[in-house]
Amino acid sequence: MELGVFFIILGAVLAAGLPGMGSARGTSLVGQAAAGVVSEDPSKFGKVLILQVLPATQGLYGLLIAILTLSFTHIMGGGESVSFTWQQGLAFLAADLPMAVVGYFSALHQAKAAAAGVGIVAKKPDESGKAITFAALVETYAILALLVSVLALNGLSGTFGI
Amino acid sequence: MKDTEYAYAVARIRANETKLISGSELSAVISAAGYNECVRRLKEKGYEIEGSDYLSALEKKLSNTWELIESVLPDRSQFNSVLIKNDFHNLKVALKALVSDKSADGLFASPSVYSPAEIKKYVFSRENECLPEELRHADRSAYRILTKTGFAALSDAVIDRASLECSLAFAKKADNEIMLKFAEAKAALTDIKVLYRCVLTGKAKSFMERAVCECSSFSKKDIIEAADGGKEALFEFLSHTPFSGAADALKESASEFEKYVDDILTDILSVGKSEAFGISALLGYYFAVNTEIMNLRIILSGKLNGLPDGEIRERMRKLYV
Repeated sequence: MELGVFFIILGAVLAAGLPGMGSARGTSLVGQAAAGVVSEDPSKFGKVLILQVLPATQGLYGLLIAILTLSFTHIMGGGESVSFTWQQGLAFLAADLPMAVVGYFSALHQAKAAAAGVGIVAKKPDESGKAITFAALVETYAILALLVSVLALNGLSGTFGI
Repeated sequence: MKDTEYAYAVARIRANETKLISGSELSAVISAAGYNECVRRLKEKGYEIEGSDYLSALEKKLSNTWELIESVLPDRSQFNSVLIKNDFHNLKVALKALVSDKSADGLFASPSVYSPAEIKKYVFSRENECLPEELRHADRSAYRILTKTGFAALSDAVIDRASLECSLAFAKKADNEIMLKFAEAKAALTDIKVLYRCVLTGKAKSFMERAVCECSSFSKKDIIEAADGGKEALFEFLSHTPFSGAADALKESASEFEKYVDDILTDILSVGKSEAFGISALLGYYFAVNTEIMNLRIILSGKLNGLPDGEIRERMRKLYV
């Protein structure tokens, strides 16, 4: 396998893997907090579920970037042989990194905000909207990273005439 | 241990905090016309009080609270700083029972770090080396004092001091700022109480040195010097410490000082109410239930003995919620 292709696949793996790990850890953390509240008051299930779902989005964004990377480079689909220099491969890897790194850390930090929000739901269920807002704001940075990665991948596919 | 490992525990405790008696509810209980009306209102809050025996219902609430905390604690040893007090109490009970040749059954306190039965067994068999390490030195010293001099007050003081020192050591190990502040304040306030009693009963400086534990709020040497100079010198010393209000409370009465101590400790733990993770929420809740029970005990015994509402209100501890 060419080094260029290796870097592209590495970029896709990191883009899908790191945010996925962050989301798994994040939803687990919020899930634990949510279970604590639901075990005392099952009627709050719906409200805490929304909070648990919030850190799951980074995993989806990461998957999207991985698919775009493999799709733009025609690695996905197989069949036709693809060829990239190591510099081109590194460029794709760099394009994947914003989503990979920001996705991982934003999922963890969003989970902390959401788990803290579970405490608000436990004590003041009427204020659950505020708890969701606090956690949702962290999402902004995952979306920005997603945008940068998409634009970079798009730019690269144009630059390399793929 | 990472604070985030407390996510489940903290959320469950937050859900339970809503069941604590609020200030307005407590006020309504105090204003209730008579003991029976108080009991009726407390039954609505889940207290199963039958007749005039309110103590067993309050004790049940406390033991249920500990069961809840124990069931959600990721690591029970993190609570050792709070529980070790009961181990030293149990040591004291066992030693006194041994020396006086009386039964200690029913006097042991729980929850504790170590089994009361084990402590009793090793104290009675004088297998000091089998006792938990934290209790060995206090056991040796207190036993020697009791058997050679029969000076129970000194024996108690030695055990109480060891208890505070051990609680501080566990708090440092728990690596939680609020727990450490709590243990520090408790040690300092106990020192003040012990020294004030020493002043009132005319105890020697050597007794004070054995009874007082080191804490970060003031120098042990300086406070003993002050206490040795009498009541006024002690009050003057306290006015320059973080516990300047202690002097006024002591001047008022012993019960006013107890209220001052409980309110200071509640203030320290209240900081933990805004913490999303960590042991401070559990510690705060445990102390909050203790405070609630203390308040209810004051109200119910006051109502049974016909104490005016105003006097009951004055004795109420600050609430955590």
